[in-house]
Amino acid sequence: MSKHPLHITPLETKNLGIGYRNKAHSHHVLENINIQVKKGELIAILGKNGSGKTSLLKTLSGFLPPLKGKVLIQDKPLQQFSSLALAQHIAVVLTEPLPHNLLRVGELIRMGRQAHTNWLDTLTPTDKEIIQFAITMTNTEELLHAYYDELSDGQKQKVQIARSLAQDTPLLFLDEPTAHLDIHHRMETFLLLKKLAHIHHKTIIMATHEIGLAVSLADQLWLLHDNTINIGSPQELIAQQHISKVFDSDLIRFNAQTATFEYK
Amino acid sequence: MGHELAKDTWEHILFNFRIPKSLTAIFVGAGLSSVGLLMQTLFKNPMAGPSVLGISAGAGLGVALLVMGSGLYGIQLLQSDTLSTRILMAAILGSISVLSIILLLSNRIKNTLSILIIGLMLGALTTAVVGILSYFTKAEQLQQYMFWGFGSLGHLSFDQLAVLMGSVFVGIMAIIPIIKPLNSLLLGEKYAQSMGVNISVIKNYTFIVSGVITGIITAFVGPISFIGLAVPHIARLLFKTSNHKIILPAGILIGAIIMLLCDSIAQVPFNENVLPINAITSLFGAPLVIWLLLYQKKYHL
Repeated sequence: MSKHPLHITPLETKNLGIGYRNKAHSHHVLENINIQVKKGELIAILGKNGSGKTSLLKTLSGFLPPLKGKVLIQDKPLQQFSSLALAQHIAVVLTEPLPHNLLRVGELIRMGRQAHTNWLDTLTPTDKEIIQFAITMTNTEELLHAYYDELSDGQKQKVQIARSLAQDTPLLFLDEPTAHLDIHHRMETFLLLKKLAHIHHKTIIMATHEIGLAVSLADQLWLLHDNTINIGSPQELIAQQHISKVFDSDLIRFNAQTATFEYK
Repeated sequence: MGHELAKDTWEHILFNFRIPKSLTAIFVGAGLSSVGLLMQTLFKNPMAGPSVLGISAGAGLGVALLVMGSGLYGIQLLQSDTLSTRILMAAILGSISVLSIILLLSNRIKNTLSILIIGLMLGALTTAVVGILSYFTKAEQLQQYMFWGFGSLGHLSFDQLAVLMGSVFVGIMAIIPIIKPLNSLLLGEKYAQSMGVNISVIKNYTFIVSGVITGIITAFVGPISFIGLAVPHIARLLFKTSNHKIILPAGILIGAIIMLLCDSIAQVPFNENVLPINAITSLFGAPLVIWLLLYQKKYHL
C-alpha cells in the first residue's frame, strides 16, 4: 500500500531530550536519544512503568515538544509540519478509551481518511480502496455496522488499528496496543503488526509490556531505563544482558534461553 | 358575503403577527440547536448548551446594565420600548464581551473542561451583578428586564426579523465547513489532532460562530432555555448516530419544529394572553433532560 520511497529515513532523532517543562523547572525523562529508524521495521519500546515509554511516543508524534534536540520525519523537522501534514505521516493508536459516541465501526474506520479527503469529506476510489485494505487486514468486515461503543476490548483495538491503517501513513505509533487483551488477541495484534511492517513496509513503533512477544517478534527493541535508552535487536540486548538488568528484581529473573521471566 | 372586514382582520393578524412570529420561532430553534450541538461536541459534555459559555448571561448583563442602570446614570428609556435598538445593542455587546473573555482565556488554558467551568462562573458573576442592580432599581425597570428575561418571539419588526434570519442563516452556513473536524473531535482532542485537526483553530472558530448566533438570538428574543441543550439529544435519540453530517441538519429541523410547537402552546387558544416562551421550553426541556440522564446513558454524545 505505501508508496513512500525506501531510501528516505522515515524517522530520526538528533540529541533528543524529552520531558516536561513548566515555568519553574523542567523534568527530564530521557536525554541524548539518537535513533535512526529503518522503513518496514517493527519496533517495541520496553521499560518499567514511568520509564518514559509514553512520553517518548508523545514526543515522536508531536504531542509533546522536545526539551532538547530534534525529531526528523523524512529529513524534515517535526515542528515544521502542520497538523494536517503530520497526520499524513503519522497515525496513532492511544491507550485512552474514546469518549462515548454513537459511531458505527464503518464510520470510525472511514474517519482515518480525513487527513486526505477534501472539506466535504468525499471519498475517491483510492480512499475506498485504502479503507477496504484496512478492513481486510484487521478482519473487521463483519463489525462494520456495529456501534463502536458496544464492541469488546479486543474488537475495539482492531477497529482502532483499522482506522490508523486507513490514515495510510508511513509511520504507525501504538501505545500499549495489547493492554486489556487476552493472550489470543495479544498474539493476533502482534502478528498483524509484524505483517504490516514486513509485508506492507510500514514503520511501526509501539510501547508495550509484552516482553516475551516483543523479544520474539520485534525487529528492534528500545529499552528505557534510568533516563537512558538502549537500542538493538532482541538477540543483542539479551546477549548484552540489558533486559535482565532492567527488569530483574528481588522477585523475578529473565531467562535468556526461553525469553521468559521466572520466580527467583 | 359580509366577511370582508373579518377577512382583513385575520389577514392582518396572519401577515403582521403570526407568520413573523413563526419565522422567528423557526430560526431561533434552528440556531440554538446548532449551537447546542457545537458546544456538546467541543466540550464532550452532554450537558453543554448555548448557555454554558456564559454568552446568554453576558447578553443579560448588557440588557440589565442598560435597563436597570438607566435610572442610575439618568438615561430615560421609552417605557413601551422593550425591544428598542438600544436593548439589542446592549445584549449583543454583552455577549461579545463575555465571548472575548472566553476566547482570551481559552488560548491560555488548554483544558476544555476548565473553559466550560469558567463560562459557568462568568454566568454566575453576571447573574450576581444583575441581582445587585435589581436591588437598586425601580419597579418598572425591573419589570422591563424581567419581561426580556421571559423571552418573547413576538414584537420583532420586519427589519429585525430580516437581521435575525440573515445572521442565523449565515451562522449555520459557517458550521458546514467544520463538520469534518467536528466528527474527528468525537474521538477526543488527541485523536482529532492526530487525524489532522488544528484544535485551537477549530475551537476559536466554533466559539466565535456560537457566540454570534447565541448573542444575536438572545438579543432579539431573550434567553431561551433548554432548546440548545435538549434538541441535540433528541436528534441523536431519533437518528441513533453522533455523525454531524446527519445530526446537524436533523437538529436544525427538530429545533425549528419544537420551537414552533412551543410557540403554539404559548399562544393559548381563545385567550388574548401569550405565555412566556421560556416557561414553555423549560416545562418541556427539563423533564426530558432528567429522563435522558436516567434512562438513556448511551445516548450521551
